[in-house]
Amino acid sequence: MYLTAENLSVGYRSKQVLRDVSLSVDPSEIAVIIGPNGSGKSTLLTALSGQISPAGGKVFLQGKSLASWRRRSLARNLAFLPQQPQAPGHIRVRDLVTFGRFAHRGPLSSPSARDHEAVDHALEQTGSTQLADRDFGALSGGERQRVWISLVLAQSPRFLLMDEPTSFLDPGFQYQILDLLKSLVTQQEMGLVMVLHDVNQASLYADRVIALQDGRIAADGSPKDVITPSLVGELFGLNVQVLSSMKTMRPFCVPACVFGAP
Amino acid sequence: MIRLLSPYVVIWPGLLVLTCLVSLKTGVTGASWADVLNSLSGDPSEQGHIIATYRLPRVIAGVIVGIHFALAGIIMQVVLRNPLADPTIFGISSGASLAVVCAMSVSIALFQADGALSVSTDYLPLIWIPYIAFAGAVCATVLVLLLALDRRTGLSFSPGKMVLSGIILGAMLNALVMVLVLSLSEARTELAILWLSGTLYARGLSHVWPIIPWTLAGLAGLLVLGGALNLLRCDPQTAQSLGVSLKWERLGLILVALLLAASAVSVSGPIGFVGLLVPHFARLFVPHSFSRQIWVAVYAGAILVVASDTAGRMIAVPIEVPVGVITGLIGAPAFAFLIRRQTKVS
Amino acid sequence: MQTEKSSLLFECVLGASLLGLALVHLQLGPSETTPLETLAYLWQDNGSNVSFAIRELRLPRILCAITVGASLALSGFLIQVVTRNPLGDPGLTGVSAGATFGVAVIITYADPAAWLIISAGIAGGGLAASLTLLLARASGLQHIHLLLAGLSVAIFFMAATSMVMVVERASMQSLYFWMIGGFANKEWVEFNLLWPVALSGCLASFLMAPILGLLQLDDAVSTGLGLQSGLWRLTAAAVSVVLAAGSVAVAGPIGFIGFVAPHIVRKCCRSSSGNPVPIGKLLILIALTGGTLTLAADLVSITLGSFLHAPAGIVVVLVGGACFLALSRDSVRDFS
Repeated sequence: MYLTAENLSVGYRSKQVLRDVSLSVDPSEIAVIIGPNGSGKSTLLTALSGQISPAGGKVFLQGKSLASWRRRSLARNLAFLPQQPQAPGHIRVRDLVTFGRFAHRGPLSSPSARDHEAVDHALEQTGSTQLADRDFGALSGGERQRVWISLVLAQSPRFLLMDEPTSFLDPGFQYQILDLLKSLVTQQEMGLVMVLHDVNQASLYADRVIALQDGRIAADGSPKDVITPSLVGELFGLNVQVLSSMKTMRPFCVPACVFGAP
Repeated sequence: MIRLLSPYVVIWPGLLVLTCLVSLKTGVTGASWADVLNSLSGDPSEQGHIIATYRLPRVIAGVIVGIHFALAGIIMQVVLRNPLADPTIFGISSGASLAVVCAMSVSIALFQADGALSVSTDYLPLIWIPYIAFAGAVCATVLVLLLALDRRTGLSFSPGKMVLSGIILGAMLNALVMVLVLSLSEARTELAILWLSGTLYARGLSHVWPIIPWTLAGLAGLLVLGGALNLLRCDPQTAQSLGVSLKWERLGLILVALLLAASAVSVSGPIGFVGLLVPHFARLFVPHSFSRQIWVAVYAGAILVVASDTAGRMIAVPIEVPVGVITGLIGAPAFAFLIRRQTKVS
Repeated sequence: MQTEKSSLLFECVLGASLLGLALVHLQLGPSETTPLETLAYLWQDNGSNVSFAIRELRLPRILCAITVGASLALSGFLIQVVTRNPLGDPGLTGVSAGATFGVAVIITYADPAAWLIISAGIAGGGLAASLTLLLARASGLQHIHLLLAGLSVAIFFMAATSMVMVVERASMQSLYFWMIGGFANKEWVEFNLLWPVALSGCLASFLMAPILGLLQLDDAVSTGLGLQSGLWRLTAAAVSVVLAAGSVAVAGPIGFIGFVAPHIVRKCCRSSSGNPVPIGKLLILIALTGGTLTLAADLVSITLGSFLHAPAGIVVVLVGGACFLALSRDSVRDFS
């Protein structure tokens, strides 16, 4: 099962945000979309998730256009977490995570034993079991993000799309969340596509980096191939030195302009 | 989703029954508790007759109308993601009013030639009014939906646009109502003004029967779409990615709410604040359980309408203050209190 | 340069239509006169019936319409500035309903002096404005929240007014006619009641012009610039309440002028170079536009009057509502 975009074009009003983007994502890889502000990263992700219908081109899941999927069956295969999802005013964590099972049961039935199992399992995977009976509104930012991840895990999707899952978190939580996602992808057959702001985080966690510029794909490949001084310079207008981390053998960018040194 | 065995099964129905009994007892002609209880078991006395033929149907109408407004309010507030949404804002009440006043004018224009001028209800039987009002409410609603239709994406409605066009269209239709009321002669102005403020005066079972199908349809719709409604409490994007179809399920929920509100308006005229207030009240009582919130709202809506109607009959005897005026008066302060309390908590 | 041109054109059209409408309005009536004769009658009273109609009936009615329109337009603009919300309008924020209630109560239960009527209107309007702001603030001063909060407050005060009307049936009929809003039978008495309030309100807003510009910024920014923004917001709100209450007391609640007039001015004066119109000039243009629109509405109402009873208030709501639906498309883009 692949998630495939063919000649995708998206425009808001008169502005063209995505032009002719084609790509295909494997169900077992972590693909990270990077690019400068306004390059169309989030738009690409929302188009891949079927949240917006593109002006041109199509997105296919399992060879079937997203537009012709029923919402529920789509939700069983594809989960999407917006940058700032909003929870209802007062809700227990367990009730919120149970929302993930909506697509797995009929409109008239209440959650079954299997649903409860899936919820428990999802909470356990993200280490939030002890949060289950707390009020979601009273949690910290990192805890909330873990609960949201439990929610999409309860959906048991084949593909998980996340828009900047680390934004608004402090660095400790950021790496905690990314580690969690990485281990989840290796544990279960699940493709992960996410937008990340930080090039180095992308390099550390991605199996594949997709660089966007002006709504087009500027580069697409392994971190080693994509994250080069010339591409980073071209994307962000930033002069960088690319080192290679000894342990992971992944490229690591250091701005060359630190302290004004050329 | 529905748990029948909960303490709410005892307390809330009890409160509702109590309110109804008080309402049956209250009126221009006094009655004792014995009268009330006897009349329910078929007492032939004069008091019992008044209670059984006039007050009981009126109380039933109040209960049904209250349930309609409360359910419509809860759906609207979730779907529009707006704690201030009220089901009567979407031009529903003004559409209904316009249709009724139009019908009055037409009937007067048709029959006035006969000579004798009497109240317009002679020409236009009261029993027709709910049907006419319903037609008007549905027309206005369709108009609002058309105005809020997003042309670019086809079948999607912007909730914000719906609120705005509903309010504006409501004001415009009200202006037309005023033109017509002014053109009616003086005797009818009063009748029109009374109807426009929302009243249960002279409402009986003949008004209630026609809307029972809508009540059932609304409850069935809520049963099927309740899960989606629960998820829509998250933002639309999240709800959609969890499997809610914004196109169909959200539209379905809006339609359910509109039908509930329109049919209620057709019986009682616009009763403000019930749909606005009751969901907040329910959230205050059972913040964590959405399904219980729905049940609390059902009971609280019925209680609020019946109690306000009773109060309206007690305040300025022998004049009857319309129930819509009472809910409007107690609604705003209560609403301000609830909003402030909620923001303090969060 | 483009700015100057388009705004100059707009000013000319505005001035010409105001004068033209007033002249047409002066002539409308059972007795026909030529424009020149009309002007002559204005200049000199020759004791004839026509002269009486023009000087004592039509002129004050015209002046009332223009003043009410200008007051409402400025009031709406001030509300838009205070709430930083393009959907501000005295009708939509409940201010008019509050003023209506105040006036209705004092007229029903007392035989008040003119200044008392206006004060009651101001008190009611002020109460309504504070309620709306409190409600909307609790849920963030967003577009739709303000609208819905205003609506609830309006419903409350309309209910209270209905209560007065239902309980004191004697006043129902007259209150109902007044509540629709219009200028029929407005004479010098009414104008004399109105102009001091309107004039002081206008003067106050012109004096505040430089501050109004700053208030359009975020509070944090304007405070950083050294402005006591909270205090000034309250002041501006108070001025807008006074302006609205004065108009309501005289002509009843007339909706949408406060929204439509500022939007028309902004639309017409927007230029390709994007240079904004200086705020003082903006205020004058808004007031003039409001006056012209209201006068036109009254003219329509008189013309229709022969076969349909449609006071100016109703014409304004119908036409203004349509404008609102058309104009608000831009400002309502990101609601959902």
